[in-house]
Parts: sequence; structure tokens; C-alpha cells
Amino acid sequence: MPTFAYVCPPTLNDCLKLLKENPGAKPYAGGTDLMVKMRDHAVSPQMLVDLKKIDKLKGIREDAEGNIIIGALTTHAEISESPVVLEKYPFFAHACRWVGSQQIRNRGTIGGNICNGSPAAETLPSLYILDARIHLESISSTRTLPIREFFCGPGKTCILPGEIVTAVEIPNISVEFSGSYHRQGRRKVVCIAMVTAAAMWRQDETSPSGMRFSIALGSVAPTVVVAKNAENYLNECAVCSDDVIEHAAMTALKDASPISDIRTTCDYRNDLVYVLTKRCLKDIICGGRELK
Amino acid sequence: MSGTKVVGASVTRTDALEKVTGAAKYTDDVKFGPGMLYAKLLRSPHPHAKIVKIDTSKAEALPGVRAVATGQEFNSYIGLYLLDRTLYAFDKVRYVGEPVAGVAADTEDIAEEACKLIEVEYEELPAVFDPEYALDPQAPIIHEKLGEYEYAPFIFPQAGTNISNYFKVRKGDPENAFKECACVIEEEFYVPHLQHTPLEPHVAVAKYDHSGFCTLWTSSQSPFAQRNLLAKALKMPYNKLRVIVPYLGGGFGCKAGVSIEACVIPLAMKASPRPVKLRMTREEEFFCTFVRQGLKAKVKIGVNDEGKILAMENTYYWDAGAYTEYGVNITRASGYSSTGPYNVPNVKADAYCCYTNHPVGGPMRGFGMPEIHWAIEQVIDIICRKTGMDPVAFRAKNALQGGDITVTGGVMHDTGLQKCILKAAEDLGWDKPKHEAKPGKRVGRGIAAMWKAPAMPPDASSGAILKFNEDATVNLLVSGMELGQGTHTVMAQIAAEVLGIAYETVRVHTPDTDYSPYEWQTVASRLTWSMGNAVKMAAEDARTQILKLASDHWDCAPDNLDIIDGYVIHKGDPSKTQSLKHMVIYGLTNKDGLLKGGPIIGRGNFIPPDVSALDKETGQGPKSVVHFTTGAQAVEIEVDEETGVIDIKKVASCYDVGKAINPMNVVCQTIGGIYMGLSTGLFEQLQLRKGNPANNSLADYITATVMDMPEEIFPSFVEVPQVDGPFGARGVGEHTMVPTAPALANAVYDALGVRIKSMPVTAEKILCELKVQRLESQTV
Amino acid sequence: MKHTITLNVNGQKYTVDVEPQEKLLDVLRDKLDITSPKKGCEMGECGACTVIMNGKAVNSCLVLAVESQDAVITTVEALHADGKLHPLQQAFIDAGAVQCGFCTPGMIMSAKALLDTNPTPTEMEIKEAIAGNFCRCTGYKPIVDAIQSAAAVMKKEGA
Ligand SMILES: Cc1cc2nc3c(=O)[nH]c(=O)nc-3n(C[C@H](O)[C@H](O)[C@H](O)COP(=O)(O)OP(=O)(O)OC[C@H]3O[C@@H](n4cnc5c(N)ncnc54)[C@H](O)[C@@H]3O)c2cc1C
Ligand code: FES
Ligand code: FES
Repeated sequence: MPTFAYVCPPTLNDCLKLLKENPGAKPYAGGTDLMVKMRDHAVSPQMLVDLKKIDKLKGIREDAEGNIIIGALTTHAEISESPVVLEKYPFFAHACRWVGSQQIRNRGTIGGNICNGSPAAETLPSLYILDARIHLESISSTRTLPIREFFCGPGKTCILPGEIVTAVEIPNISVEFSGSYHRQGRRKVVCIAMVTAAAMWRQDETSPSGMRFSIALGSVAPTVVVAKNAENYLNECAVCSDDVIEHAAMTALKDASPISDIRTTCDYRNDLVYVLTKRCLKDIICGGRELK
Repeated sequence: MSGTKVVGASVTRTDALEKVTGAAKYTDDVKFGPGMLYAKLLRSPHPHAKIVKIDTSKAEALPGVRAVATGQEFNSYIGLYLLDRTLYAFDKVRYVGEPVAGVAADTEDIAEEACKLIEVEYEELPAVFDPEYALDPQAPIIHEKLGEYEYAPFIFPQAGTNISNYFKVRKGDPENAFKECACVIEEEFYVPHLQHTPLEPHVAVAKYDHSGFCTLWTSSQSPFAQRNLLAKALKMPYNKLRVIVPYLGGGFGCKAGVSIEACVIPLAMKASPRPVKLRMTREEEFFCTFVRQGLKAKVKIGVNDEGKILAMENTYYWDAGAYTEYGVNITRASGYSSTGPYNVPNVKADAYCCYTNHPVGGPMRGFGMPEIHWAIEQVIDIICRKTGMDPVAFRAKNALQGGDITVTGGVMHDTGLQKCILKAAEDLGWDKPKHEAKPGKRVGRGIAAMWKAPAMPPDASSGAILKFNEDATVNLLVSGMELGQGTHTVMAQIAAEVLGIAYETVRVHTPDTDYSPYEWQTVASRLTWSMGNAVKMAAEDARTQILKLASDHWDCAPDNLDIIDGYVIHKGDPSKTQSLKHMVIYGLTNKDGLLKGGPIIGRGNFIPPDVSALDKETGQGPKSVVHFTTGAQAVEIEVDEETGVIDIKKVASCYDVGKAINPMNVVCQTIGGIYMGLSTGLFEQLQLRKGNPANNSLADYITATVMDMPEEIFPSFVEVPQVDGPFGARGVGEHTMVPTAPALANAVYDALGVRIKSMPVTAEKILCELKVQRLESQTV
Repeated sequence: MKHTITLNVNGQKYTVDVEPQEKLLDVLRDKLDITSPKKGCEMGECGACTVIMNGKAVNSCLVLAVESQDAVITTVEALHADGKLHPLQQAFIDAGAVQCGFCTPGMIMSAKALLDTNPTPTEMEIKEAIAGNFCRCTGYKPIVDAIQSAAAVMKKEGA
């Protein structure tokens, strides 16, 4: 392990000040990514700024408009057990339950999962289709970014120096909707996914089927990708029959550009894109139901 | 062997209390005080290269560095069956990860830093990564001095080649027999390198004091083999090297023989008298200790129209890695077991131990048997499919029985193999309809049989010393390691049974070569049989002494006496009872008023009595091994047609253990073996890219978790006594994983009609084969 | 820079000096001589280092020691403190859930963390709770059985 200074500021303001004053500093949340990377000498921060005392970053709340705001320090265990998340977005709670082991879920945070920026990150496909918004704060500014604009490459995010993620916001969906998440790893659990997929429809009178679709895929490109081609195809179909689902799942392949690595081959990833997309769509459409 | 009290009972493990309370100490838990140094090794980045120059001066100058060792200084050879291995590389490196230099320093960080300061100039050489290519005359030679190495008499190295052992079987007339066959199938199979992945990584601490006395604490399966090989290589008198082994956090073979210990002692010698600790990181563990060898197997089996196997022709190319000091014997085992557990009159088998520039191949649970059965048991399945014979009936029909002639020409002892095959099938419900598949899934069943002998030199022996204490409790000294298999419990049971005392009063603990008697190694599932015999003998020796003492005391014949529940009793005179307490140390007073006796110490030693050499050209001989444990396993699975993902529904298995000294232990070994068989069958593979490990971490080397285990497990055993085993017992540790992977592959075929010939059976491979199948069915 | 931290381990208060990069696992093992948490991988995969920290099972190899200021840490050593085996320990012995024992302390801690919050877990919940604890010996089934029977015993004792 490299050596570093460790600080655990009590307030967000102290934290942001420290980050501004120490360019070599890194926020430290659950440490489940950072500890492994430091051990491998993949990162060697000069200072770790432990976020764990900052109450402002904790907890899940629903505001008056029905938006859910999840503090960056919220652990995967907390999200997967959160009554409000379970009720409104069970597939997202479910996604968090896929993360690592119970021990990892007890420590790993949603902020860390997002900021780590892995294309295989468990929470991301769901957050993409939910149009989640990332709340960022530095000592001098506060901003909010749609999650789709947050990543610029594997492990690369748009976080500016001195900035941290304070929360993830899931905007309220005022129409009828349904979402689903599927993933496959090399064994049943405690493994990084080979492919992840999330899909959702929301009621939308302007589209022929009355549903507007969003699909996001993980681990098939340098960042999580939106399956634009598949979405467009579905958004133009009047009836979501089995054939349509089948074709949409095939179309999703156009949106993926997987590689072969030690986990699996490009070919198998493509197979999984098709299957997992199809399964998500089947879940949410219940066998070709027409909404209108 | 009825009428036993403790033998045959599922008593609680002797080590369980220590282990659930955290009291059990493993090597890394032992404290050595502030003087301890930490070692790190500089490893070869090349699979094959000449070492032109090593300059350690900068490392030595780093503050906090206390010793640096290299092969220039420590240039002896070491090895169990073939002395081909270096302590630290000299002249050449032969695999990525080979130790080139070691540093002992005040902290691990300093040692690591110092390793980076060592300058090594290499001249890269062409490398060999395929065992078949290793045999090509054009292939680079990995050990030029193979012809000069020392080796055991039953190993046949081929000087001037990359073959460090060549085992041949020539039995009957296979060429003509194949012509008589109604069905002949020939297929090629592949088994990748694996790593045992015991939960405890290797760790060793050595201390070399100013008097030249060396103590080694190590996580080893083989304290005496350690002492033997290391003392010899380092030219120490055996009684000046003391090996202490605390509890082991699993071994599965990778802690047999010698590995990291050969690097730490030289450092301790140079840093004398400070203790030096060398601990493998999990990443190092994967390619710097032992790995399971890779195998390319060509198996050809012919059967007549009655479903009788007439001939086999099998070729095994072992990808044995850069040093084969241990692997040569796996090759030998694959030769004398080459047919699997079947009665085959005509056999041609060739097993090659091939040097490659891969990590060092060593023993792993099953010792070559999971690998060769992977091939044999699938070819048998193919034959059954092709000829329409039932895989269970076919196996039962061809299974070796007592009196049959084995592949090496010896007579098979009595065995319950046939019963095992039928029992495993029955427990799985072979004759009943399969469970109904969920939509999009297909159900399949497979079965495989197995045999395995303890693979060891003919003179692998065991010692036992049994000491009584004043309160009639016992310390049983043995050097077989408790690595989880429950051997301490079984030994306590055997001793207690013979002595007529409660087994809880027998303490068996971890060995120290200065005080514990000799044991060859804890490998080969040989302890229950070999060490068990020694313990039984030691207990009998103590019992004889006790009875003699009491018979003198009462002035009667020892035959009239017995020991029951810690008391010597007179069978004909209930008034005569004598507690063992006190008397086992202080003796008894005879009628003449004189004291007799003294501390009771029982002694036992055992050496396999009748194993003979095999002919070099034919592999034939009267008795190749001490015995074979046989068994079978059946598996039911459900496979997802779209993803290829397998759910294991049921596993049923049955082994012939001779006598289950502790039935619960047998069941636990079986479940553990099923787990390891499934884990290796479904997931495990050390990915090597030009000799470089690509997935050497627990994140990337996939093993089965609790979620991947079968929904139902039916473990069972039969007991056909082993005549020369203690209470009729023979070993059953490794066997339980041998048939799992081929049974799984056969089940996949049953479900989907695709044949996976290279282990592991991943979802990806299944899907790939399914796509080929679909394409073929379209073109037909 | 060294930090002085005070933490409660198994009911005892300890004050230790630690470097920022020191892991809780190493401090427990090397400085407090609490050796039941084992080092199996040092990257959060194997679970051998599992301890209960403030009521939750965590991999102590992924926790910085400095973070455990004021923390309450439980390891398997605490379960037997009064000389009586915890139902989980007894059940592990009875079910044959212990072989080499290297995974056992971490496994029991994961199981305890589960039963502390969910005294009547389903088989699936048990599996989920220990999925991050690798065992190479037992095949897991005896461990799941042990946790189930410990839960039953604890329910009876509590009732
Ligand atoms: C054994 C194991 C299994 C795993 N399995 C999975 C899995 O199945 N799926 C999966 O998706 N992940 C998995 N992970 C990865 C990891 O657990 C998750 O990504 C987790 O969410 C990371 O959160 P953390 O709080 O631990 O992050 P940390 O390690 O604390 O931080 C990660 C990165 O994010 C930065 N950071 C953290 N919080 C903030 C913030 N609020 N603002 C700005 N930057 C921040 C840190 O500086 C660091 O660069 C696994 C990890 C391990 C060790
Ligand atoms: S040592 Fe911590 S999880 Fe393996
Ligand atoms: S008992 Fe050995 S790892 Fe679990």
C-alpha cells in the first residue's frame, strides 16, 4: 500500500475545502474500489478525505415532487432494503443487491459506484433509464448533471478537481411505467457482470404503442451505453409482440461494441446483449400487451 | 469388522472447538517478535531466458535491507522424484514468476522496494507453451541437463528432450482388438491449468541461529519431505533442520513437497539469527507455488456388440511446466490408471510428462485422475450414446471387479465399484423421469465412474508414537497433517478403539519434526490407511504393555484381560478392575511388593508391504499400487438454452471406502469433493497467455460460491473391506472430485446434445456449441 | 503521520497508534493479536477477514484502521468469551461445517451479522449472507445447515 495522509472532515464544507487545497487528495467513501486499487498501486493518492462523517451525504429521501434523492454515501445494502426505492423502482433496488457480497454491499456506496466509472457498474444501467441526475458540489459551485453526460470513458467522469458527488436524484415519473434489470456474471453471485441491461417504458401518448422505451447496456462499451437503435425501433412500433421484442433485442446489438477480455469473449457478450435485453423487455411488456 | 465402539461412529472432530473459537493457530498467526524480517521475491518476467547478469548492489544498499539471496550463491537442485528444480534461478529462468532473487528487510515495503532495485539482464529464449509441441524435435530444450539430474528409479526421463518422464503400457494386442470392435470412438480432450486456491495462501518463516540450527515454520502438507529435500539441497544434517507446521488452511496438494520454503531458508541463513517471513500474496499464489498441470488427452476406446470394452489406446500429454520434480509422478499415475476403472484386456497407453514454460505443475486433489477421467468418461458416454447402451449399465458391466486383471497386469482386489455405480444412479433417480424443465431450459443427466490409487513411492512410510499421561489421557504423535480432511479425528478414533478409552481423551496435534515421528507426506489420500495402520500398531503396542503390567500385577494371563472405558478388567473375575490412571505412568506394584512398569509409550510404524516395480517397456507388474478406491457420481442439471448457464439440480455419489472410520467425515469429504469437482468443472481455469497469468486474483479466477452449489446432494458409501487397512479402511479424500466434471459434461450432452471437450464447461462454450449445432441442423 | 485511535474490540477498549495506510485486518492481527480474522486475498473477495463492525459484516482487509475510531468490532473470539459456545459455534461443530477452519471465523461472523438482524432467515437469505465467504473445503451445504439449525436454537432459547 502506498502511504497517504488521512482526514475525516466533519462537514461537507470542510471536506470541499480540503479537496480544493490538496490537489492530490481523493474522496474516500466505502473504499471497496479504492482500497483494491491502492493495493495494486493503480492509484496513489497523497491524501484520502473520508466522507463518512458528513451527514449531508447520507440517507434516502423523497421530496415533495416525488423525486428520490439518494445521498452519495448511501450503501448498496441500504438502497436494496430501502422501502421507498423498493416500492417505486424495485428493479433498481434489485440491481444494488447484485453488487458483490453482503460485506461489499455494507460498505460500497452509490457515489463510489458511479465515480469509479466502471462500464460494468451495477447501478448505472438502471440510473440511465431512470434519467438520474448527479448532484455535484465543490467549494465554489454546485451543479447537476444528467447521468448520461457524466461519463467520458472507462473510469473517467466529468467530476472536476475539488468536486464531489453529493447525491443521485431519481426524478419522479408521473406517468405509468415499468422497468427491469438483468445481468450475467461468470457465476451466480459475487462477480463482475459480463453484461448488464436495463429497460423501461413510460406511458407516452405520442408514441404509436403508447409507450416510450429506454434501454441501457453495461460492460459492452467503454461506458454504459444507451441502446438508441433498439429504443428507436420500439418507439416506432405500434404493438409490442414477441416478434417485436425479439427484433428489438437483436437491434440492441448495433448499440453494443463489446470486446473480448479475461471474463469472456466479444461473441458471448453479444449473445448476452440479445438475451438480457429480451428478458428485460419481456419483463416489462408482459408478453405483448398493448397500452393504448 | 463389527463390534467396534468408536471406529465407525460419527464423533465430533477433535479440532472443531479450536477452529470455531478462533483458537486454532495457522502459520501466519504465530508471532515472532519485533526482530522478524519480511521477505519478497524478485520474479522472472520472461517465460524462458538466459540470466546474463544479476546486480544486487543497489538493493543491498537500501536502508532496512538485511539479506539478499540469488541462485548464484544458492545453486543446488531440489526435487521429490527428479532433482530438476532450483531454489533461485541460476543460468536460466523457465517460467514467468520464477524466483530470481530474494530480499529480507525490516518491512514488506522495503523488501518490495529493494526487489525493484535488483538489476537483471536477460537474454530471451524461444519458449514452449504446448505439451505436444514440447515433443517436437524443433522445440527449444528447456532443461539441457536433464540427463544429469538425479531421479527416482520408477521415473524415466528422456535426456536431450523435453520429456521428463515417459510411462508406457503395452498390454494384450490392442491393434487387433480394435478390429474386432463394433464401435470405436477416438476423441481429444483438454484440461487447463488450475490453481488449488486453498483459502490460506502459502506462508513460511525460517530462523537460522548462530549455531547453524535452522527452524522452519511453514504451511506445508509435508514437514518431513520439507526436511528431507531442503536439508539435502542445503547440505544440512537432518537433525539441524527442524520443521514445525501449525494448522493448515487447506492445501489440496499445492502445499505438498517444497515450494516457497526453498527461497526463505537461504534468506534466513544470510540474515541469521533473525526470523524471516515469506508470505505469498493471493496473486503470487496463483502461479508461483504449484498449479495443477494442463492435459491434452487422446482417448480411443473400442467395444464389441455386447457392450464389452475390448481395447483402449490413450495418450496423455501433460503440460507439466518448467520444473517437473513432482509432476513426473502424476504422469506415472496417469499411466498405471490410464484405462479408468474398467476391465480392459488390450491397452496401449503413453503418458508424457512434458516440460513447458508454464508455472510449475504439482499435485492436486485427484493427482491426475480428474484430468484423465474427464476424457475417458466422456468417450464412454459417446459410445453409450452411439450404441444406445445405458451409461449406467455399460459402466456396471465393464467395471473392474475383484480378481480382474488391471491395466498394469496385477490382480484387482475386492471392490464395490459396481455397487457404487448402481447406488449413485439409484440415488439420482436414474430410472425415474427427470424433473420438468422450466421454460427455456433443458434437463440433463450424466454419470461417471472413477478409480484412484495413492500415488507414492513404494517406500512411503508412516510412524506413530502414543504417550500416556498420568490421568490416562493420551497424546498421539503423528506427522500427517490436519488440512481439513479430519485425519486427527480418525487417528484418535483408531487409537481409542484399540485402547478401550474414550476418543475425547486422545489429543492429536500438529507436528514438529524434532518430536513427532516420521510421515512421508499428507497426500494421496493415504493417511487413513498408512498412518492409520501405524497408529493402530502404536495403540496395540501400548495396549500390550498395559495388559502385561496388569497381568503381572494380578498374576494372570494377559489373554484374560481387556480394557474397557479406561479400566483394565479381568474377564473372568469382576472384582479385578484397575483404572488406567496413574498406572500408565507410575506402574503397578506386583505381589512381591516391587514396582513394575513406567510411562507407557506405544510405537507403530508402517510401510507398504508388497508394491512392486513395473516393467519399463510394458508397464506390467504384479502390484503397481497399494490399492484403488473406486466410486461413481451422477449429476442432474438444468441448462438455459439461451445463455448456456447451468443450474446443478442434484448430485448423487457413492465411494467404496473399505470402512468408514467416521461416516460423517466421509460424507463431509464427499460434499467438499462435489463442490470442488463442480467448481473446477464449471468455472476454474488459470488463463496463461504466453506463460503470463491473466487472471491471477480471486476476482478473476472464478470458483463456485454457495449459490452455485446443487440444490440436492446424496452422498453415500459402500464398505468392501481393504484387507490391509486399519479396520478395513482405505482413503477417500481426493476421489470425491474425480468423476464430477465428466458427469457434468455428460449431463450437458444429455440436455442439449453438445459435447464440451475442454474443461471448464462454461456457459459461453455451451452456447457456442449450440450455435454450431443450430447451424448444422439448418444446413442438413 | 500516525493516528492514535481508540476502538472497542470484543468488549475491550484498545488505544493504538496506526499509520493511515494500515488496514483494520493487520491491526487486529499484528497489533492486538486477534488472529481469527484471516488473510485470504486482501481484496475483499474471500471473506476470510470478515468482522462485524458497528453491527455490519465487513471485510476488514478493505477497512482502514484509522476509520475504526470509536468503532465496535466483533470477532469470533468474543463469542466464546464466557466459556459457553454460541449456538452458531455449536451448530458449526455439529453439522460438520468445519474442515480446515480457515474460513470459519469469517463465516461465523457473516452468519452472526445475519442472525442479529434477521433471526429467522430463509435458506436463500442465508446463502446471500455468506456468498462473500469462500470455503474451499466443505462444499457449503453443512455451513448452510449449521446456520439454519443455529437460528432454530437461538429462537428457542430466546423464546
Ligand atoms: C469483492 C468486490 C466485489 C465487487 N462487486 C461489484 C459488483 O458486483 N458490481 C459493481 O458494480 N461493483 C462491484 N464492486 C465494486 C465496488 O464495490 C462498487 O463500485 C462500490 O459501489 C464502490 O463504492 P465505494 O463507496 O466503496 O467507493 P470507494 O472505493 O470509496 O471510491 C471509489 C472511487 O470513487 C471516488 N468517490 C467515492 N465517493 C465519491 C463521491 N461522493 N464523490 C466523488 N468521488 C467519490 C473515490 O475517490 C474513488 O475514486 C466490487 C468490489 C469488490 C471489492
Ligand atoms: S482477506 Fe479480506 S476478503 Fe479476503
Ligand atoms: S473449512 Fe477450509 S476453507 Fe472452509
